[in-house]
Order: sequence, then C-alpha cells, then structure tokens
Amino acid sequence: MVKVEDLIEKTKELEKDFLDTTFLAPVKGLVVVKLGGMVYRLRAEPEDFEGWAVLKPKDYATARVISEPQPHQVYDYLKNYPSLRCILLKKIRGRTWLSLPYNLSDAAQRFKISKPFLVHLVERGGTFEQIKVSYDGLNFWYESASATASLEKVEKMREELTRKQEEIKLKDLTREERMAYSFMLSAIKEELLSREERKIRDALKKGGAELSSYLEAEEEYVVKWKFEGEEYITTVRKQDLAVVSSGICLSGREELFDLTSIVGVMREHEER
Amino acid sequence: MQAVHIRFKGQSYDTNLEELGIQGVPSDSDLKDAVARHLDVAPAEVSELVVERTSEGSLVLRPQAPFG
Repeated sequence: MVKVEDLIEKTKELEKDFLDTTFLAPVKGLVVVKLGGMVYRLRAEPEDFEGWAVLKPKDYATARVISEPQPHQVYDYLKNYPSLRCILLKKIRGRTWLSLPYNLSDAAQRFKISKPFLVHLVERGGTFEQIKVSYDGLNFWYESASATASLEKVEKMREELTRKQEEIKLKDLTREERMAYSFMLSAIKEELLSREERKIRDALKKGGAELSSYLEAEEEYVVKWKFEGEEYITTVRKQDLAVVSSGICLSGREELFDLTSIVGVMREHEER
Repeated sequence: MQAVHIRFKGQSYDTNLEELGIQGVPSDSDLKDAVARHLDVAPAEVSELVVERTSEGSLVLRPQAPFG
C-alpha cells in the first residue's frame, strides 16, 4: 500500500517540476492542467487571451502566455481526444459557438449529448457549416472544418432562414440539419420578438409609463400599458409607433402622437 | 444624460440635453429654443408644443391634444 507521505512527496516533486516547464493548452480565461492525477485551474495572463497557447506557470494559480503554437502542435494535442462532427448554429461570444451534433445518436452514445452544446476556439465557420470538434473530458474544442459538408446546401439553408421560411424545401437535409434549421428559426423569431417588445417598452418608459402586454396585428400593435395605477389600451403603427387609436376622441388627429407622447395626453384627458 | 423625446409634425425624434447643448435644468422656453435649433425650424413652429417632465427623468415635447 502506498504511504500518504510518499504521495505528498511525489506531488511536491511534480509541482516543483511543473513550475520549470512550458505546456500547450487551449485558453479561454482559465487553463486547466492535470498533474499527477490532480486538477489545477490556472488564470491565464494576459487575461483577455483566447486561443491556443504555449504557457509557462508563474505559480500554481497563474500561467503566462509565452507564444502561440504551430498548427501541427495543436493537431498533436487534439488527436489524443475523441472527435465529433457537428453543425454550427450561432456565435455566443468571442470564439465560442453553439453547435448541434451532426449525428445525434452517435453523440448521445459517446458523449451523452442530445441537444445544442458549446464549442470553443472556433477558428472559422458560419451558421449551418459543419466542423469537427474534440472533447477533452471537460470542453469541446474546434478541430477543423468538415471536408464532407456541402457549402451549396449551407447557402440554401441560410437563404431560407433569411426569408424565415417555416417549411424548408430542401430535399436532401438530414434530421439533424432540419433540427439545426428549426432551432435557428426559433432563435431569430425570439430575438425579433424581444427587440419589438423592447422598442415598445422603451417608448412607454420615456413617457413615464409601463408596458403591461401587447398583441401583434398585421400592421399594428395593440398595447396595454399602465400609468399611475391606471391601465390604458393604445393601438399604434408597427413601423413608427404612431398612434392609430387611443380610446379617446382626438378629433381624428391621432397620428400627431406616438406611444411616448400619448402617455401625457391620456393623463391630461384624465385631469380634465 | 437626460433623454428628450420630441413628437413634431407626425415625426418622432430622440435626443438628450447634452446634444441640445443644454446644461442643468432648462426652462420650457429654453428647451423649445434648443429643439427649434435641433430640428432646424423657426422657434414659432415649436412654441405651442407641450413640455412634460416624466417621473423617469425624461423630457417629452408633444403637440397640444385636440380633445373632441
């Protein structure tokens, strides 16, 4: 049986050697190093560095980037880990993208993944493009673009997405490509919806009122809003939030006002 | 930076006191003069606008309401 004292001594030696070495690692804020079975999380310097780096430890909490490795060194590093083909969905931040496995059954079996996941240090690519990634047990790292993907198909999928087509008409799409398309269509719609809501909310806020809810009609929004405890309903044009109907008589001159300025008008009407 | 919303002749404009070249708390008259310069119209054209100061700290200039 190994003595605890021996283990501590061995770890001390490894740690001492570690400070004299340089090592290659993917960096995104933190660097994770496994030393004698123990995991160390080191802060990278410079702090904003994101990419592959050759690092030298300053201590057991910090490592300094001393150079960027050659592509073949990165390749040698990644080939130690299992690889997975996936479809890029959308950029989250920096070089981190949300992706979907190209083969969900395979990904579920090997990596227990059944939904979109994050891939780091993506070098190049765009929505619906296919890439290969490596899994180091903690994170998925970009390996390369997938040579088997059809760029023509990707372009067509993007065109359909730009037109926000509910039913994609391409015939040779796989189940996963259809899922990627549906995911992106929902994401775009949600983004659009939250942008519209923000526009309405901001307009009311400038007038000193608060949004309760809104409904979308073809060319208009029917907006329910609150001001000093009272609730009002105003119909406005989608395009510029000009008032179409305010619920009070404005002598047919509703368009003089927008969603911001109608707040004061309604207050004035209440005070009359 | 205090926001200023202007509704003038069926158009909406968003600006702020700094852009209007105003420091401190402006009177209605000073604000209208600055808005006239900003919109490049004669001061008389904006003289009838109603100035509202909201609890959020914004300033809203709008036409008088033609209540029926």
